[in-house]
Amino acid sequence: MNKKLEKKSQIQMFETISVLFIFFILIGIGAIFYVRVYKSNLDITKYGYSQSKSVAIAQRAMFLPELQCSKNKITTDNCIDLLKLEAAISVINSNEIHYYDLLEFGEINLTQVYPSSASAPKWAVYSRKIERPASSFLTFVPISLYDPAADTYGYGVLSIETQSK
Amino acid sequence: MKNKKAFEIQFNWIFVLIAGAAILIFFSSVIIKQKGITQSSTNIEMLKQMENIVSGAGVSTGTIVPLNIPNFDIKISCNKISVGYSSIQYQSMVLFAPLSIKGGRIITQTLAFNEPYRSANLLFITSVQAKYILIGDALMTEANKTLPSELDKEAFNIYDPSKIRNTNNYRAKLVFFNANVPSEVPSSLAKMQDSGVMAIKVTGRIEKGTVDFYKKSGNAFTLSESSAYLGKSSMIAAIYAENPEMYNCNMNNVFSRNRLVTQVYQGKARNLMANTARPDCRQVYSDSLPYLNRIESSSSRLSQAQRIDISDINDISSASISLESQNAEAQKLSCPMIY
Repeated sequence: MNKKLEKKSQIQMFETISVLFIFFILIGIGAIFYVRVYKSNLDITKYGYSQSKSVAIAQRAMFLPELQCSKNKITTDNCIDLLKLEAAISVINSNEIHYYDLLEFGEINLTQVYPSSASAPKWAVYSRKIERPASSFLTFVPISLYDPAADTYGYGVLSIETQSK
Repeated sequence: MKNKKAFEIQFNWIFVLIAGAAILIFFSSVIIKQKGITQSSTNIEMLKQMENIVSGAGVSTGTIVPLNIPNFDIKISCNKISVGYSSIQYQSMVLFAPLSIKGGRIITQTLAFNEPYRSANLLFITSVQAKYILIGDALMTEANKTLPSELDKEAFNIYDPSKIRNTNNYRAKLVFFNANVPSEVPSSLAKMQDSGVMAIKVTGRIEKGTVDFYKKSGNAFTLSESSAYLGKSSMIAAIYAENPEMYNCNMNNVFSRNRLVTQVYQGKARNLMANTARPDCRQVYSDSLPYLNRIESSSSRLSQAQRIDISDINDISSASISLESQNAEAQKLSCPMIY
């Protein structure tokens, strides 16, 4: 009788332990599934942030006072002063840390489209690339090119590539 | 036998209690951890919004934008914005604001720093729950016109402490234009915390002048530091800045930008000199270079100065006036303008 009672209580405890064990396995499966879904949502959010950051950097590049056309303190949007451009490239290359804060990782190039010539003039305005970026966005902006010496306007394309780790 | 039964029952209950407690602890820790993660992600979301505002300021100028934001406590300091335990660090941020922005509605304003050409946009942010009391002469009128109408502000020509009311703001700033700061805090503001009440004295004209920062110590205003401003935008910056440290730090960044843009204009002036066949135009560009050099060297000093010095401000101001006359001369002679 005693042995029967002992076995009964042991079986009861074993039942409780096995129920708990299966319960925690189910919780673990649920947690793994939840973490996977959460991670994919985070990846989507991260991609969205990278895109909006890329747009912000492109805007900053387009509106840099170092490049923007101005006449008597009045600035012209979507216009680059070619005489300032050459000086600006030198200033940007000499102050890498300062411009990294504004433009981060990426590359900014300017290509003249009009007046067209056999060798389309191209300027490398800014370059700080990483070898294996986690994401990369390329924005093309049509821009007016002003030559103050000749007082003539041309047309070009500003390509802004932004990268993130 | 009965004892053994009783022992088995008690042991079973103890076992059930321990298992139950373990399950509760497990789920409680999951909930607490999840709450922390959600709070952090909300803070980061808020920081991203602030980052977009700061980025947008570099693009647009002369804008006033009221924004409704969640009721967070946003902390702003030199080159750093924090929300909770999350923060963004900048190398050279230009943002004048109180140290702590509270409430669900903020006002953002941007003004261009044009001394003498646009080199930076100054961004100002404050809460509608902060109060600004302006006292003084024609300079006060100009500042009052420039500050957004959405701000909680009052303007007086003459200082009368009985007219200053406590409207339950968390922060109050008194701005005296070419008028002395009283030694005593107005009685309506005396009971506010010392960190919530401050005063500044602006002495000079719209083009340039000095700024004295005062802090509240009990019932009295005590002078904490003096600085200087150049142009309307930096005068307005002194009104928004919480303290002289924030003002000086941000002005360092502004003059750092001014130095770089001036270097670009120096290059442009040399390019113009090299590319023009007309001797009269070459003379104008040659005459403008010393003024550009002076602006560049003064901006360089101010970009690293602990305090904005009035002598460097005077130097930039006089060089800017001379450079403007050279620019006007270029326009008169139909030469390409320097800026």
